[in-house]
Amino acid sequence: MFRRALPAGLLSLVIALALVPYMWPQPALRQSLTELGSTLLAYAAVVGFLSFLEAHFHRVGARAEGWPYSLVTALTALAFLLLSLAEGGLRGNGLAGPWTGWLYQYGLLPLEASVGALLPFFMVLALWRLLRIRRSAYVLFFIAGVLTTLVLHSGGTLLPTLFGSFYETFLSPLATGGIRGILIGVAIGVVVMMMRAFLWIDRPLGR
Amino acid sequence: MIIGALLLLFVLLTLLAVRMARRIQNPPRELEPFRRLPRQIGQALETGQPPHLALGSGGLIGNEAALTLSGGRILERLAQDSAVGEVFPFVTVADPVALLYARHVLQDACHRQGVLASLPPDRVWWAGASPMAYAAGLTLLLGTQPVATSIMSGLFREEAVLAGEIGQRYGAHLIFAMPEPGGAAALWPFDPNLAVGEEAFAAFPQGEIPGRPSALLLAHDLIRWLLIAFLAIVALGFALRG
Repeated sequence: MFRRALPAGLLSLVIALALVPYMWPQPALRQSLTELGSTLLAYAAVVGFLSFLEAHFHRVGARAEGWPYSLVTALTALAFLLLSLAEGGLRGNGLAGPWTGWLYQYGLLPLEASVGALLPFFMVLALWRLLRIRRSAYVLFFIAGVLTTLVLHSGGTLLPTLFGSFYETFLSPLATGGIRGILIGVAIGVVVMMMRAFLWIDRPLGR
Repeated sequence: MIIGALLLLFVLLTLLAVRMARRIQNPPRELEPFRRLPRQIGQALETGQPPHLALGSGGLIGNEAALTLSGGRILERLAQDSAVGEVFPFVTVADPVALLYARHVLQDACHRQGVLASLPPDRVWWAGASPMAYAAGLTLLLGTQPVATSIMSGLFREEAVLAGEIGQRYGAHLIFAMPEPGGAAALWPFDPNLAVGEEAFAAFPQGEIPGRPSALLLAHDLIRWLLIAFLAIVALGFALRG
């Protein structure tokens, strides 16, 4: 009984503590909660990294489908960690340094940008597939989606100039209103979920 | 202080709506993704192909915690059902705390079924630390590991379109519950019936008392109407005063 009630009780206590600064501004409490969260995050990052290595080396050991990808992923992560530790140890300022910064700037960020550049094509492709399945009803959505993609993702061309005013006049107000409505719904969902966890109706930490 | 007062108002509205919703006998609107969920889990158990759940790029510390926990409700259901048939789901996360949470839920479900020893360590993946890296990691998993169903619920933005595309390409059945408007917009072409906004919070874990999910959905709707009435009255008050 006590073992089951303890996680739910702790969760209720944390929810109550997290809400206090909103009702009664207390910088010290907010600071303590932030520090507690940072400590938990640091611990979780170490355990998470070990779990990450365990998962990928397990796949390599079991020769699961795609195991060479897992091998490359795990070895790259280990090499990056060793580099960060070496740099941090030499310079005495944590895990950051010029080499890791260089790898971020010229390795990771361009890769992410390349993947991000593919998104508009996949979006238009997905809309096109939907249009082929349900031809009549979704023509307007397809046109709106393509126009939005062109306006938002074609910097340096004439397209934003050609379609920009149409987008600002017709599509943007509809989209903004819709997003606000959804966000109010999300706020409702968050509060209901919080109340259910607080009152022990939901027990996300186990029953 | 204003946020605190609004929060208090929201909490009071929630309690009122939950109380009112239990008295209403009308069945709530049906959410297509959650209606399909049990059948897809059953199909995964029959075929032996594991389901996949993407918990999004959010964590459990910070503003996005509730969005991640909305996927956590699906994870509880998935873990319990899958542990019975020993077809363990793949769970992908982008945050270390979410990783610990997902492992805990899976291990807890397996422990209750007495199959903890057979849970492979590669069932919870830290697919990437940033949203774009996470989406790329998802494509790697779905490309190399055949899954029967790919469920996405949690914090996703436009990058979700990559995971939707790769899931569709490899023939996985797709189920989406997207609280975030960006993710919902990106995944809408793959499934126009996806759960959007507060609907994404309405998944119910296995073992919950039947009827409760109805009360939950009705509570969401009632709060929405109460809030609309409140906003209309305030706006009318200001208009008349001005």
